[in-house]
This record gives sequence, structure tokens and C-alpha cells, in this order.
Amino acid sequence: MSDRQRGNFDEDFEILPSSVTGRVNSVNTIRRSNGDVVAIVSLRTEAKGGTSLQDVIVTDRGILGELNIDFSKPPYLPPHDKLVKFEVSSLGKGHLLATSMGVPEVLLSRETNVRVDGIGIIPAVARILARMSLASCVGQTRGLSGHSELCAQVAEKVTSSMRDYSRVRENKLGADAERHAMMNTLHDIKNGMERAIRIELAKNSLDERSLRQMQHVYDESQSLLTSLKEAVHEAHEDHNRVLSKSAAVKKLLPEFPAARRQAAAMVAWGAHQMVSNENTGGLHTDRLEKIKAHLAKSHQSDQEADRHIERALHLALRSLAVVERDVQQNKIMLDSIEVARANIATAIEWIGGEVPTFDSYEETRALVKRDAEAAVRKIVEEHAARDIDVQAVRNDEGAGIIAVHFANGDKLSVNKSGVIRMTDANDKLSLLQRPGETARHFVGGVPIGDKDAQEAFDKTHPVLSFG
Amino acid sequence: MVISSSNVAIDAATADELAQKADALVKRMDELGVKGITSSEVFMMKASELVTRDPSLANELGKMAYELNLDAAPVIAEKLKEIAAV
Repeated sequence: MSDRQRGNFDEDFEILPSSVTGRVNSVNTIRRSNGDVVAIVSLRTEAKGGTSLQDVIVTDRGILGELNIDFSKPPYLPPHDKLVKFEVSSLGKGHLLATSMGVPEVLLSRETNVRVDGIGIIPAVARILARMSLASCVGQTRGLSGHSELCAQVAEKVTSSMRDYSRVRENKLGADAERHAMMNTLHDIKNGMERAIRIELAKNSLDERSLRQMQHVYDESQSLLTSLKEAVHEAHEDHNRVLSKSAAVKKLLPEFPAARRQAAAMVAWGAHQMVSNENTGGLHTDRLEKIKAHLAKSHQSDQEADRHIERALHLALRSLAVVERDVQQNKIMLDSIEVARANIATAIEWIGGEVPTFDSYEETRALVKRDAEAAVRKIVEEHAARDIDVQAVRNDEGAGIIAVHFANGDKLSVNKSGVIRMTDANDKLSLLQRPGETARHFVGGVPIGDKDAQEAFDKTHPVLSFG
Repeated sequence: MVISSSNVAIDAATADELAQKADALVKRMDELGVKGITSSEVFMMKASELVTRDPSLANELGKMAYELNLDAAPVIAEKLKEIAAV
């Protein structure tokens, strides 16, 4: 690390690469005066000229650049035996948590360099669930404020300690400070509710449901306090050994099918977001909507919840199989898909389902075919609306070609890759649509909207006037 | 080309339908006081408060979390269901 890098982080933030590939050489953390934890990850990168060391700076403000770390060779333990794309965040005290799709995979630590495969799942799932549980406890406490004067007082106190918690988050004071602020708020809820329940019971002034709601908030805050303490314990005690992911999950969620279901749904949702990012052409739109619909239905039906989540996970797997073909040249993306698949397989296991395998080629072909057929149907309907009949249709399943001839001379063809072409009566290209893209239109073979091409076309095709 | 304008017409219809759906969603969010919330945690807090007062809102708010593409939508939906069941 250069002196300049040591001395002026702000300048270095400006020159951070957005993506770096390499093996972790060392991890050091420094706490700045404003409380930010700054981690310097020294990566051994390989370029044409040989191997070099590159420092990357990460703060718990989030990711300043993403790390793509190759753990494939010793002394680093291989999580998946290949290059994996991670987002890295600091947990403080020299620990960095590397996550993929929001699911933690690796804990990097100053002392041990790398711990892998599932170890981080405890703090990370716990962190998401903890933040949501805290928000839920605070919301419920506020919702109970109308029950009695005592409940209103608890809500007021909790609102105040929640402001402190928000300040810790806003000022990026780190994971430890966040945990402390979180626990303070939870103690306020737990103690306040305990007292309120005792007094209201003695006065016999509240109905059964109100008391049950108060007891529920008390139980939830108590349970979150316990798991926060356990999560801290796990993160600190277990980072020197490797746990398998399923062992970690079983340890975290032994008796709570609802929590397992939440975690599985989160994995499906994470895959949905991942496919959504790759859905620029809209090829996956229908399937993404289906995944969303299954997840939305899962929370409306207790009996069917697992089935809906499993279906969402299956659909996500199928979409990932298609995305995989689109990103063949992008090794990082391919490996991220592999990680996502592994997470989905684990999630299906959590809810007691079986993990199917989907062939990338077949899935792509099926999706492209469906997309192409829909596009052809649309074009035929558009011709019909203009009273132009279809003269002939050839659908050669074997060759994967569909051809439609229209009465006005337009000829439409779809090849096995799903590329749609239409020519006009003069055999000039009038429409071109690749899978997942919107149609491009042409006049006389010249793209509409392409000003230069249009001008060139006009020059070579002067308008003749007859006077 | 006619196809082009026809495409625009279809797209416009779809866009119109989506816009109407979005308008209805925003209107309802405004009624419930969750309009403009983009953070999972803030939504969770507000939704928990509402469901504690009126359990019948659990499904609607859970679905809303998905419509808003909130990061923790599945957790929000499940938690609201739990609160409503108390």
C-alpha cells in the first residue's frame, strides 16, 4: 500500500476501480475519525505483465467497487472452486463479509484471511431478519399506542430510541454500534411491554386480543434480542472454522419453518432481481411476473406457501438457465449464476422440495420459441387489422423455421434462434427483431430513425417529380 | 409504416393500462400513508403499525411490498401475516 493511499482515502475513493479480479493477499482495517471502518484489501492480480498487488478500499458505507475474488488456489479456501462475484461489506473488527446476491458466502478476516461457505449466512440472514423484525416490533408498538396511556408511553420511548438507531445507521457508525442501538430499542420495547402487560392485567382494563398483541410484541423483541446475541456469538466464535451452508442454516433455523420459508423466499426474490437486471429486452418479463405472483401468493396461503415458493424457485432456476446462455462471455456473471443456483438448491432443500435440473439450451429454445410465436402472432394480427390475408404458412419444427407469406407481398420468417425478419413486396427488409429485443423497422431496407442512413438512401433514391 | 404505428398503439394501450394500475396503487398508498416509502425497513415499520390496528390490511400491504420491488418483500409479507394472525 502506498503512503499516498494511507494518507488520503477520499482521493483514493475517486480512483477506485468498479471491479477488480484477484486473490486476497491481506485484509487490514482502519477506523477513521468519523467512525467509518475502512478496509484495505490487498489483491494479487494477474495481468499480461505478470502478477501484481492491487489495493482496494472498502468501507461499511457500502461497496466502493466490487471485488471479484478468486479463491481457487491455496492458501485461500475455495468456496466454489472458481471465480465468484462478491459484494463486500465490513462487519468491523477486521472482518469483511462477502455476499453474493445478498446471501453471504465468505467472511474475510484480518487474522484468518478467508473463511468460507455458509459461515456468513448466520450474520447476514440474521441481519436482514433482524432489521425487519426490529422495524416490525417498533411498528407494532406504535400500532398499540391507542390501547392505553401506558402503551402510548412505551411507543413514545421506542420512537425516541429508534431515532438514535437511525442516527447510527445514517452516520455509518458500523455494525457493532448498529447492533447496540438495535438492542437498546428492543430492550425499551421488551421492558415497556412487560411493565404494561403486568399493570394492565392487574387493572383488568384491556381485552384479550389487545393483551395478546402486547404479548406478541414482547415475545418478538425477546426472541430478536436472543438471536442477536447468538449471531454475535456465532460470528466471533465460528469464524475460525468452516461450516457447511446447510449445517449453518440448520443451526440458525432449527425449529422455525416460517423463518426458513422467509429465507427461501428471499433467495427466490434475490434471483428475481438478478434476472430482472438482465432483462433489458423483456424476454423474461412474463416469467418474472410469475415469480412475483407466486411469492405474493405464498404469503396469502399457509398450506400452499411452500409450494408457491418452490415454484418461484423453479422458475428462477429456469430463467437463470436462459440468462446463462446470454452471458457466456462473462465469466463473472456465469459464476454468479452458479452461486445463485447453489443458493436456490439450498432454499428448495429448506422447504422440503426436490431440486430439478434445467438444460440451458432447451430452456432458451423454449423461451425464444414462445417469444417468437407471440411476435409472429402480433404481426399476423396487425396485417389482419389492415385486411391483409395470410397466403401461406410453413412451420418446419425440425429446422425450427416459421415462414408466413402475406397477400401484400410481405414475407415473414423466424429462424431457430428466434430472429424475426420481414421483407416487403420488393424483398427489402422491413422488420428485424432479435429475441428479447423490440422490433426495428425499415423502409426499403433503411432503418427508420437512422437519419444518416435515411439521408444516404434519399441521395441514392432521388424523388422524381412529374410536372 | 403501419406496423410501426400499430406497435405504438399497442404499446400505448399497455402503457396506459400500466399507468392506470400504478395510479391506483399510488392512490391507495396515499390513503394508507405509505406513499413515497422506498426503504424496506420504513415500509415494514409503517405496515406493521397499520396491520396491528387493522389485521385485514396484511395481504394488501404484503402484496404492495412486492409491487414496490422492496428488497425484503418476502420477509415483510410473512411478518405482516404473522402480526395479523395474533
